[in-house]
Amino acid sequence: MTFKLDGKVALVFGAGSCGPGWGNGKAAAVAYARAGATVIAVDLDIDRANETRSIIEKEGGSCLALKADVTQASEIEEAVAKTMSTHGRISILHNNVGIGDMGNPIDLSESEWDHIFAANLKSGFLICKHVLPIMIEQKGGVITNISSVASLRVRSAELIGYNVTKAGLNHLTRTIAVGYADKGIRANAILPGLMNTPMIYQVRELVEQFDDEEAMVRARDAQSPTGKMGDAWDVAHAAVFLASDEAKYINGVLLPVDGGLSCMTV
Amino acid sequence: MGRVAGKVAIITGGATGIGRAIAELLATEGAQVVITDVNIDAGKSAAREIGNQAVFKAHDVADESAWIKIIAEVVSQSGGIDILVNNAGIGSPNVRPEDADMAQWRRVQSVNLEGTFLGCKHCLPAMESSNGGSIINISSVAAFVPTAGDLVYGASKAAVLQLTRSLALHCAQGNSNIRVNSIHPGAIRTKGVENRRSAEILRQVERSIPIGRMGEPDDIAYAALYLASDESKYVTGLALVVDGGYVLAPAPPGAPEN
Repeated sequence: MTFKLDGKVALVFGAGSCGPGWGNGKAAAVAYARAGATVIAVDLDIDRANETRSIIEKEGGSCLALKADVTQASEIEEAVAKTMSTHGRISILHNNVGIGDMGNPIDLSESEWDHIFAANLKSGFLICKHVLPIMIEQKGGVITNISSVASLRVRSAELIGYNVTKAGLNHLTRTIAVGYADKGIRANAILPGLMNTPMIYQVRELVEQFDDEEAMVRARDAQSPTGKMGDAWDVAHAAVFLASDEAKYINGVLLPVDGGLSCMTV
Repeated sequence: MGRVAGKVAIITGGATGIGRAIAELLATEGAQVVITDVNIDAGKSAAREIGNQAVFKAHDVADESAWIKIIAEVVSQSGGIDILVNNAGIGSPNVRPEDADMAQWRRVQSVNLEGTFLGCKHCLPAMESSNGGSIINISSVAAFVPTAGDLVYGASKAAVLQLTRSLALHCAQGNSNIRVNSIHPGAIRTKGVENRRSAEILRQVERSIPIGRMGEPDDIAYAALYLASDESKYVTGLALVVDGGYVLAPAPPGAPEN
């Protein structure tokens, strides 16, 4: 039996889940492994990376778990170096790191703004800085950044840091897509819409807008055109498609996985 | 187990080129495919070559009564419709708008836009009664990138984009479990394109594409397979561009920027 990603090495940043259940990064890492790839699961929290690793290993896949804080250039460099010394190549770079810290431009402090930028956007630049030379050398690779429908749609000023960094990530992705297409590198972004993932229960300000978690789930389901949020596997399946040779002519796209939410936006 | 095993798919314009590639791949992945086309000889041989899983029906997509007939036949023969690929489309000779022949204009709109809408209109009830489905409209990068000489085609394909998004919302909000998406191919190297264009023109086209080459019909087929399968069950209203990066920085023909 052959699989779509046999022989590929997938480096996944943000591969742990911040709570029980399936986060986008964890599902993507497991989906890559199920499709035949060797996975490097990187997370700020090594326990979360190890949880993803153990799921992959139990299913008979191969995974290395690493700790890295993507706001620190040296830690990104180390994770990339460790990947190269272990596997010798990076076929797929999947950047799932993102924080949804809330705050409008008046309330948000300068240091909070800087931190959101470091975690959501500068990380994408730094990771590419270290991975692109490797992909150029190996004459190919796939970069998939996890953006958000919030990069296109604005619902309130309370997510200004998130909205702006995700919009920046879109154009970072497209700039790399055009700039390195002739080196055999494809770069695309996936834009999840309203998802039912562990992250939404972790953003205190988000949960606090509702009476309880159930009320939040009901409200988010209702906001989705389909009447239901998506889940981490919807994002993971899109990622496997984009990483595979089936998508070999897809480069520089923003792929919403959102039940139709973003098609109401220019 | 195929990724669209047991599903029934209609592919318009499925006799040749991109439509043929989509029909072949969906059949390989387990679907029963109904190829429709105005080109009867090519349609019959496509169905024959694909084998038992394929049938051909002669079909002008601009003809509403033909749609009613074909959908009734497919539903009665196969029990329902799960996938509709509105792929049939025509181009038109480049003309100055001042000189446009309105019969020509209407013919392009009636195939590219009305044909797509008619397929959606008549498939929706069949899909609703069979637990949902996936509609894939083949538009073009011409929906996003204007071409001065080809405004009839561009206008029809841009209309398909908005038709798709409106139908996607209609279906999502109606809880019908029907998803509607569009694919926007860039320059695709079909036999038809190779026969019509000179090698020099094709080289020029390739220079305008970041990936440096034209796409293959398979590239569109795999995108259609993803959208047809349950892997994309939360994806609707998407305009999936498959163009090697062309729309990000389209260059006027013969005028490379770098």
